[in-house]
Order: sequence, then structure tokens, then C-alpha cells
Amino acid sequence: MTWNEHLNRAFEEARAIILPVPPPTSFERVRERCSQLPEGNSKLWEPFLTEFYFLCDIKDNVPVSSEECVSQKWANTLAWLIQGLISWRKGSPDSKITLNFMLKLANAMDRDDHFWPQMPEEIKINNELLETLADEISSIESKYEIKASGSSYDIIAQFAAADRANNWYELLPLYNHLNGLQTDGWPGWYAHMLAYFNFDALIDATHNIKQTISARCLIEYLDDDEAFRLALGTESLHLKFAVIYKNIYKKTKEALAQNLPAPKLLTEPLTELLIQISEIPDLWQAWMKVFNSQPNDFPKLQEPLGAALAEMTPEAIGAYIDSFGLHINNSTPHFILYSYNQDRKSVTSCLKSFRQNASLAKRNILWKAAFKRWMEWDFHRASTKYVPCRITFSILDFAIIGYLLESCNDQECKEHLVEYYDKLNRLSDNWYFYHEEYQREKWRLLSHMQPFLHAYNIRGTDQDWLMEEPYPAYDPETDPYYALKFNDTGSF
Amino acid sequence: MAGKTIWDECSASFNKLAKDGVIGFYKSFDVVEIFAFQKDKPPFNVFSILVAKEEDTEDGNTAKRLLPPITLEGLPDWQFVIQRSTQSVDTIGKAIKDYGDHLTWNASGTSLKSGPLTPILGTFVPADQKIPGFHNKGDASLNLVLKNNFWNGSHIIELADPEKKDMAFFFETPSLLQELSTEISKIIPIRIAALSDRLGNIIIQFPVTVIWTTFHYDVTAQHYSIQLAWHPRAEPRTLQAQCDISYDGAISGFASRTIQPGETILPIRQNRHTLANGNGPRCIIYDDKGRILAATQVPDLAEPDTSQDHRCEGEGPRRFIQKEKDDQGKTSIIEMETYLFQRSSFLDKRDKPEDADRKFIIQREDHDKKPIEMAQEFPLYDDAIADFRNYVAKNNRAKNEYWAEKRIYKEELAILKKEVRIKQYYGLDSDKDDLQITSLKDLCSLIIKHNKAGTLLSDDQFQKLKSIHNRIVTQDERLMTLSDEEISGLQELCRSIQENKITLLEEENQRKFKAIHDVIRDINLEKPLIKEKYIEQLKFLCDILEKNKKDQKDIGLKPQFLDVLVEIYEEISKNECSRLKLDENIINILKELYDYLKIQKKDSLVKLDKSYQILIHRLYGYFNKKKDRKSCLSEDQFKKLEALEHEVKKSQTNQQQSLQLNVLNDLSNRFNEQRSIWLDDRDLIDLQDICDQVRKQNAPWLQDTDLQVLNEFSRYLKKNTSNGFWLWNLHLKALKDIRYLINRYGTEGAWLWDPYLSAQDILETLFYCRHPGVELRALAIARKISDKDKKGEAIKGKIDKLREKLNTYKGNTSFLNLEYRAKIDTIGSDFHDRFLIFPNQGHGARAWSLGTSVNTVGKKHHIILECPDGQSIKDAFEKLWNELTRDEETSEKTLIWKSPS
Repeated sequence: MTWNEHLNRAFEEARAIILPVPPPTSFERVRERCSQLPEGNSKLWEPFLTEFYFLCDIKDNVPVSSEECVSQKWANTLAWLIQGLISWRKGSPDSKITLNFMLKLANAMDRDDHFWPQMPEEIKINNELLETLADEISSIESKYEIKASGSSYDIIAQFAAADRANNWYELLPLYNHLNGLQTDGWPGWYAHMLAYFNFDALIDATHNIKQTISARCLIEYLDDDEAFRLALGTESLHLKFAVIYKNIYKKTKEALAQNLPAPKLLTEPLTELLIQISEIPDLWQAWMKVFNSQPNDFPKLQEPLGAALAEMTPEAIGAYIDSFGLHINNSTPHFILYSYNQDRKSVTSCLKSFRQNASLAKRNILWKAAFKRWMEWDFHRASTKYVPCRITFSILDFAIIGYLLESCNDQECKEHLVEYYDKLNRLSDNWYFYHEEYQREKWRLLSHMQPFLHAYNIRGTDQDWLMEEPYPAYDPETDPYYALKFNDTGSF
Repeated sequence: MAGKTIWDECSASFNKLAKDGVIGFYKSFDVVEIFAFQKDKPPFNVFSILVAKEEDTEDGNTAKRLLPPITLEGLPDWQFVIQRSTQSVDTIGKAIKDYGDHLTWNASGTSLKSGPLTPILGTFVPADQKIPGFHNKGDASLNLVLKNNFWNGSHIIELADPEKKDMAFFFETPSLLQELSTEISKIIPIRIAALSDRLGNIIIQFPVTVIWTTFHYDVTAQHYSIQLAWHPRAEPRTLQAQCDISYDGAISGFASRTIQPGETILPIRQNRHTLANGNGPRCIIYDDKGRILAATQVPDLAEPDTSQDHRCEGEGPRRFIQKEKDDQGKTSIIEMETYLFQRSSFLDKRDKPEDADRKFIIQREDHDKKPIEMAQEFPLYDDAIADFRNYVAKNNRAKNEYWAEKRIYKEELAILKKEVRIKQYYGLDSDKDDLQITSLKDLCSLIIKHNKAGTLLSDDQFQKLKSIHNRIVTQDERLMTLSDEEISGLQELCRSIQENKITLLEEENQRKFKAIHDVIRDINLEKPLIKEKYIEQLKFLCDILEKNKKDQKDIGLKPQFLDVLVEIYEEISKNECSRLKLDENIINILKELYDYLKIQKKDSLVKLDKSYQILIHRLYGYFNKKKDRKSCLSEDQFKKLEALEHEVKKSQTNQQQSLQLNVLNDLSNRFNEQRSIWLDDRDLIDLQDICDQVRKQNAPWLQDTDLQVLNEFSRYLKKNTSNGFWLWNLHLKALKDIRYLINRYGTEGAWLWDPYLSAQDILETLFYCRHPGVELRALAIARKISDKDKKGEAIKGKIDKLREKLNTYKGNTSFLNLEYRAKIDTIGSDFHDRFLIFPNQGHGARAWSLGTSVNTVGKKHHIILECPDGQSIKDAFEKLWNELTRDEETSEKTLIWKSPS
């Protein structure tokens, strides 16, 4: 029997039970521990695990005991749970502990969001319960406490500070190190239940969430659709951030770690969410910096982002372009080069999506912004630390080609190229102490020429806008002298 | 008609070189003139260079001064000008002719006075091969002043001033030349200081552009590949390429071919002798008229494969064990596992193999005798490149012309130091300042450790420190002045510690805190000036204080522990008599606590912040000392108060331990992930604290892995705070230099000659030789070898112990060919000096004087210096060695240890 078949059967039997046995023995022990241990302590729920071992067994795909008593126990538990939720009152003794206990139980039985739809609609009538859930969610405040073997104190402290300051840029790298952070389960259970019975109330309850960690707890048990609905409806930036992070990064990484295919992403609500965020300029600028510092970390983001950019204002498009760190890809360690190329491919997939979705006018805006940025950057002209050691590509190449093909005409493009060739031939007018200095300038110029040469070659064809290999400046067949002089690409 | 003068020849040579298609297609010259003048006196030429180029120009291009005139401090009346212009070929040709006729040089509209110029014709300067950061001694010196001579090479016409009368001041005060050169190089990248023999000269450079060539040596095929293309305007003509390699005055390889456009192959073998002795091959391309069109001394980064010489198969890495003393006089054992460095091919900067660095493992034992491995990685790669450059760059000494011999800056000191051809050690004296700084660090460490210093300070004290901090942060000055008030604030803080007003600190920590007092007192004496180095420390301190002020830690106690306070206060409030016997302060404290507790819930843990914790400590301290406390408290109440105090302390400790545990976890993770770890000051401080805890309490909250990490570092930490560390560190630095020399020059053996040479010294030096199987010799005087604990022993016993030590720690002696001998009794003559000798360095032995014994290198002042006549020292060593091995009996007697045995 599958899990859901077990559950269906248990529900069926539960409906027939009029007087379930109250309460399960473990509840008393949990209640006892609540007076001794702080919320969130995992030991709190140890008696629960002992009592409801069969739920855990089924969850872990251990064959469930065929003993009738187990089946009866489950049905009785469900019946008690249903009645408990319908009759739950705020002022009753141990009401919070009871509620948490019931929702822990519900959560343990829930798989593939199959649980709540089977619960009776009568629960909706218990306004007191739903209001309490909303109240608890709205006042949620997570403590930044750590388990002994978890993340280091420093990281948690940095995270807390970044969270308080809405420093998204620092928040993201720290987010990945939060495994040891002790969090409560109940906000997730509350949100999950409330999402089913009163989604609007859930949205209202979350407007003031100002902690990423709380937001993370809240969306823990929501499905993707619910999470995006919540993110779109709420005013909480931390919640929006947590939803995006979970969908474009966490789930992908987790799937990768388990060797599973990447989960399907709901692109439309993500696009909508990104457009919504772009309307807050400071936030958009900050988040673009976060997500574009290493675009390959977020491959799932790229297509929706491209589609969203097609709908955005010129300012938001400008912020997108400005958010990239432009680098020359001549680092010796191959993994750096590899990761840079992967970033370039990720950005290209965003820009391809943009190209498909955007009007020509919008495209011109982005291509021009990219071209301006690229020219100003000039392959780290202003830096003495980073110097080109070979012909180097840039992360914005697709947009530069876009500019040359869609914002420039053929003649302008040629004029640019002529100018570059002239500079190349006059390069030795300047005086260099080391050959290496000359080579740097040469590679900088040749790197500049690459998009122009590519655009020149593919204009009017269906060829890919992104070049993969460097173009030689001169044809060895027709210009052997200059080819020998200038075609040294460096080791690519 | 008069015969041809030298100037006619010069003009003819100029015209020939400038003619289209001969070596290039020149239209103009880039003229750079550096000249000097005094007020109302004509300018004279300091140095001029004229570079032919293809680009056309209108004649009479206005000369442009590149900078306002340069004035040197030592020559206030003089001004130096750099002037640049573009002149046509004809203009320059005319300038040469005019000089021949009128002895006046005017190439750019400015007449320059010069000495009696003499033309030097027919010079060809091969392409410039110099690489930043390397000692480019094989490169043609003229490349320091030529423009962009990177490709085929350049023909040169040089108009030399053999007298240099006007430049006398540069030779009298060489630093002036260096100063001028520095200023010039900011504008034009030439280095005239290194070519003082060219001062007053005019150089006309014709870069060859009629062809374009590249050279490449194919290691596997053992041939040169030359790619060549003709200038589009040139008429291709027959060219020859010639390549030769010389070794020890003989030509050891030669190849010649007629070359065609495209690729031409010249088969030529390069063996390791030519490489190791710096004789790189020279390749020249010339035309049917004998004109050189390209020449290269060190072909395009071509390196022969030397892997055969270094491949070590069949045996594993060399392992041996070092015994070193830690600062407590105990001994600990270090096992070093070294992998011999294999050069699979000579290294090209562009293709650095990922495993080029040397990797090895240090094994240490923790207290449970379990080994801890630490991976070490040595960036040998850069050295290897430098070695290579130095090997192949030919020692191309220029002809011994008078001025060339008088070059002022022959070699840079930095290069000599880098190659350890001279190195001076200062011993511990050099680090006094650093040792003083450690006092300041101690203060910071104390604060970090206890995480409660912020609360130890009064608000007033804290505010003062904070204001100092703010000024430090905002004030961008190298020196900062503290007000008297601020100084006294700092001193007050220290005095409070000294007078035990602040009692929460353990005694040991108080002592450390006091140490800072001296530093602050010194600052005061210096009329409050804080040096830059202290500013950093103060910044750190203040940051910590501020952080801790905010991070006051709360603790939670069960209500039953605190009930006693309510009880006492209520009782005292009622009992006037008891009340009168108490200090007003104590009553206030009780009231404050009472008020606080009354508003706390009874059913959960009571939160106590730092201030309440202190109040409880004070309360307990008061009653504990009070003789007549029984008149105020019952015995039961006092016991409860004691229990409360104990509970507060326990909670504080737990909190601190949890913090420490996190630090440990962090370090442990880093250690496990990286297999090696860099400890910064913060780490050291944290660890030191934790190590202390472990020693004192046998802390049960630490896991085994934590203990392993701790034990590993405890030895290091101890050293880091004592002179022992500094001595050891300086000693190690010097030992590393000796190891560098052994590996750099010991390709065919290394001999160490030191009367006090012990087994430990040999393990520290010759065991590190990476060259497999080369002859390593160690020579000592038996009666002089002594470790501290072996004084007065009979020589026989001493030698047995040395032998035993080496046998114990020798490891697998992989590829180790070492003999350790000692002069015993009357066999052989005494010696005093200490040398490191490399017996077979191609052109003879090389030797370094160590200046002190190996066991004291780096610990006190001495100089390691290469001796001018290494061969004589080698001969002297060998003579003694032969005496010690003259017959079987003597050889056996003088032998201490040998590998292979």
C-alpha cells in the first residue's frame, strides 16, 4: 500500500469513530517537556516519535506493520485530531501546546499535500483557531540560536546582522551556512494549515515578517504554487526573498546533491514576482547584485528573469546590466575559467529569453546599456591588478552582439572595426618596458574586436549570437605577415 | 678628394639601414632626447634615442616636452628635460651628416651640446627577453634603453661620448643618476641608471620589420621551428637561419638551413649540460648580404625536458624524523614525509602544471600518541622558473669596454638576497618592537576570551575608550595624539586591574592586563604620541569593547535559586536591627534584585542580564566576608545564597564553554576540510584560552576531535607567546635559506662543513636535499659536537648517540646518499669556519660561508655569503675528507653515519 492509500484508509475509519480515545499518551509527555525545554528544542518531540513510530516507518518506506492495532491507532489518532481542531479554543488550558502537538501530527501524516484536502470543511468554522494561527504567524520572531555542532557563532551573528540591515548581498552566501541554526517547526505547520483554510489571512499575517529565517520557516511546508502566491501577495521582502531563494537555488542544489533531476520551476509566477520587485528600484538593484554576482549559481532564474526584463522599465534594465561584476577570464586555474564560462552561458540564457520576449525598443535599451557598460569597463582598464593575458570574452557578449546587430548598422560596425585595426597597428607607437605590457594592450584590443568580428561574420545569418572561440584578427592565408604578428591569442 | 671619414661611413650605414625593404620600411623616427641645462648655458645631451618606424610624418613635427623640467635634490642648479618628437628619416640622416661636418647635434630643432661623439656601427641587439620579476642577466643590456625591441631584434647605430665630462657629477654621486633614472622611467620606460656607460650617447634604433618571425623549440622532436612571413611590401629574398649551442667554450650543437616563408625546422639537440650552465642556444636569421634580420638568444620560452634526470621510480618518498625541543624542555617528534619534486617538463609560466608545487606531510603526535597529519605545500614553482631563467640566460658579459666596466649598479641587492648570495641575520634584537606589541595583543585577547570586558568597565571608562576609538577611525593620520584625560582614562583602567578592584578576572588574566599598563605609561612618557602600529591595536581593542558592550550575555536561572533574595530582602525590610548592620549599598542591591524578581514570572526561567549577575556576585562576596553575617542571615539563607552564586557562575561558564565549543568546531571543520590551516591572531587567542581550559579542567565538554585539534596547536601556541617561538622562528627562516641553497645549487652534491654539526643539524639541512642520489657530505669535529644534555660525555659514547639518533629518525632514506664524518683525536686537522659547498658546479665549485654553526643560524647576528673562490674551499674540504678516509681503519673510525649503510 502506498502512503496515501494508508492515509485514505485511516481517514475512512476515522470518520466512523465518534469517540476517539483522548489524548494519546505521548501528548502528556510532550506537555511535560514543554515546561522544561524551550520551544524549538528537538528533544521536545522525542515522546512523539516513540508514540507515532508507525508514521515515521511509513514515511521512510519501511513496510508498515500489518497489525490491526496500528491501523486502529492511526484512525483513532486522526479522529482525535479532527475533533481536536474543530473544537480547539484559545483560552483552554495548554491550548498552544495542544495546537502544536496536533499540527506536528498533521505534518507527520502529510505527504504530497494529500492530508489537508481530506480534512473536513468544518475546521473552517473554527475562526478562533484560524485567527490564532494568523496571529502567531504575524508575531513570529525567530531567535538566532545555534546547535552545538552547527554553523559557527560568527556566521550566525553575521547572518543576523545582515538580516536586520536588509543586506541582501551578504545574506545570500551566509544563507547556505545556516544548517546549524535552530528553528521552530510550528510556523511552517501553521502557515501550511492556514494556506489551505484561509489563504488571504495567511497573506495578511505575513506583511510584517522582517526576518529571512522566519520567512524560511513559514514556507517550509507550502507547495510551490502556494509559496509564489504568498510571495506575490505579501509585503514582506524577506518572504519574497526566501521564496525566490528556495525555488531557484535550494531545491536545485538539493536535487543535485541527491542526483535527481532539477525540479520543475513555476516560471510564470517567478517572472511576475521579479517584475513586481523591479518596481522598487533600490531593492531591485540590491537583488540583482545578489543574484548576478555568480549567475551560474542560479541557472533556473535566468529564463524567467529574461522574460521579466522584457516587461521592465529602462531603469530596471539598467540596474540589471550594472549588477554584473565584469571580469577577464584569464585566470590560470581552469575551474575559474570554467565557472566564468558557465556564468557567461547563464547570462546568455537570460538574454536569449529577453530577446524572445522583448520588443525591439526594449531590446535596444538593454543592448545599449550593456554596450556602454562594456566600453567603460574596457577589460579592466582602470585596474593594475587584473590584466588580460589572452583574448578574453565577457559575460555581456550576447548583449554586445545584440547591440551591434540590432542597434548599429553595418556601416557603423565596420567603422568601429577599422578604428580597432588602426589602433592595433599603431600599438607599438607606445613605449613598453616589458613585452608583457605590449601583449596586454594587444590582447585588450583583440578582445574588444571579438564581438565586432563575430557580428560582422554572422550578420544576416541564423548563427548563434554568442561566440565560443576567438577570431583571429588577420587571415593567415591572405595576410601572413600581420597574422604572425597579431594572431597570437594567448593560450585559450 | 679627402678619404672617407668615420662620419661618412656612419651616414652610409644609416642610409643603408633606412632604405626601404632592406630591414624595414621606415618613414620617420620617434626621437626622445633627455638633456640637461643650467641657467644661461646651452643644454647638453644626457641620453637620446631615435627609433625608426613605419608611420609617415610631416617633417618638422614640433618637439614636445613630456614633463616640466626635472630638478634633482643634489643638483639644484640643473634642470633635466625629456623631449619627444617625430622626425623624418631625412632629417635624422642630415643630423648625422651635420654632426660629422660641424660637431653639433640637432635632430629636433634643439641644438644639444655633447662630448666628442664617436659612431659605433654594425651592432645588432637581439630581441628583448626580459620578464617582470626575474633576473634577466642574459638579456642584452641595451634592451634596458631600446624601445619595444621584443620581436626580431634591432640594428643600432650608436654615437658614443667617450669622455662624459659633462656627466661627471653622476659618477661622483651615483645616487643622483638613480634619482634621475627613476623620474625618467615614470615617463618613458627606460632604465638609464643601469647603463651609466651610455650616458651622453645617442642611439639610433632600427627595429627589423621586413620579416616577422617566431621561434619555438620542440622538446620532444629536439628541433627549432621558425615561422617566418615577409612584410607585404617586401620582395622576398633568400634567407639563412643558423643556430648554435656552445658549452665550455666549445660549440656543442649547430644547425643551418635556408628558410622559406612559413615554417622551417632546424634539428638541434640541447642537452642538460648546456642548460644547466646557462648556455641557451642562439638562433640568427640573415640575408644573402650577411645582414642579420632576426636573432634570439633564448628562444621563445623553449625548455628541454629534464624529467629523465629527476624521475624517481621504485622507491617511495623520503621519510625521516626530526626531534625538536619545545619551550618546556620536553622533546617531541616530528615525522617529515617528503615527496621528491619531479619536474615532468621544464616549467613555462603559461602552463603551470597543477602539481608543480611540492607537497608533503608533517606528522605530529597528540597527547595520546595518535598521529595528526598536516599537508604542506611549497610554492616551488616560482623558484623553478627563476632557476630556469637563470640557467638559460647566458652570462653574456659585454666586451670589457671602459665605461661598461665602470657601470655603477651592477646587480641589485634584492636579487642577491633572493638568491641568498648574501643574507644578513639579526637575531632576536630585530623583534623587540614586535614583542612589545604582544602586550597590546594580550589585552585584546583577554577581552575576547572573557567576552565580558565591556561590563567590567564603568560607563565612563567605556565612553572614554569609545571616543578614542571614534577618533582613531575617523582620523587618517600616521600619528595620533591622545589627550591627557584620555591617557589617564586608559591608565585608570589598568590601575583598577592592578589594585584588584576588578575581581572577576582570573589572576593569570589580570597579570596579562597589567602588562598593557607599561605600554600606556610609555606612550605617556613620549608626550602622548601613538605610533601607527599602536593605532591598529587600539582600533582592534575598541572594536571589541564596543561589540562586547552590546553583547552582554543573559543567563536563565530557575526561580527557586532566586527565592532566597526575596526572602532576605523581605526579612531585612521588616527587621530594623538587621538592616542597620548592613551597608546601604548592599540594601540597595537587595532592593534592586527584589524589585526585579517580583516582576518576573514564577513559572519559567528567570532571565538575568550581566548587571544582575554582577549584583549577585557582589552580594555573595559581601556576606561571605562579613564576620557578623549571622546577625543578618540565617545559615540556611547563606547556603542558599551560596548555591545561587554557584549557579550564576556555572551558567556563565556554560555560556562561555558553548562559545568556545563553537570556535573549536569552526576550527576543526576548517582543519578537516583543508588539511592545513592558517591561524590568525584571533584563532590563536581563542585557542590559547581553550587550551588553558583543557589543561586546568580536563574539560569534559570537549569531544575527542576537539582535543586532537587542541593538542596539535598547543605546542605552536606556547611558542607563539614566548621568546622561544621567536628564536625558533628565526632559526627556521635561516634553515630554510640553507635548504634553498642546497636545492638550488646541489644538483651534483652538497657538503656541509661545520665543527659543531650534530645529527639534528643534518636532519634539518641535508635531509631536505631533493636531488636524488647526489653525494651529500657532512663534516664535524667529534669533541665539539654537543647537545646540551650530552656535555662531558666520552667521544665514543657521543658518536654512538649521534648514530643512534640518525638511525632512529632516518626514515626510509629514499635516494639519500649521505656520509657524516667527524675529525677524531689527531686524525686530520682542526677547522673553525663553517661552509656549505657545492662541489661540481659546471665551471667549478661554489661555496657559501655560513658565518655561524648550523645549530645557531638565525639566532644571532651573522652573514651567509657566497665565497669568491669556491673551488679552493672545496679543495680544502676534500683534503681533510681524504685524510679522514685515507685507509679502511681511519675511515671506519671517523665515520659517524652513512646512507646507504
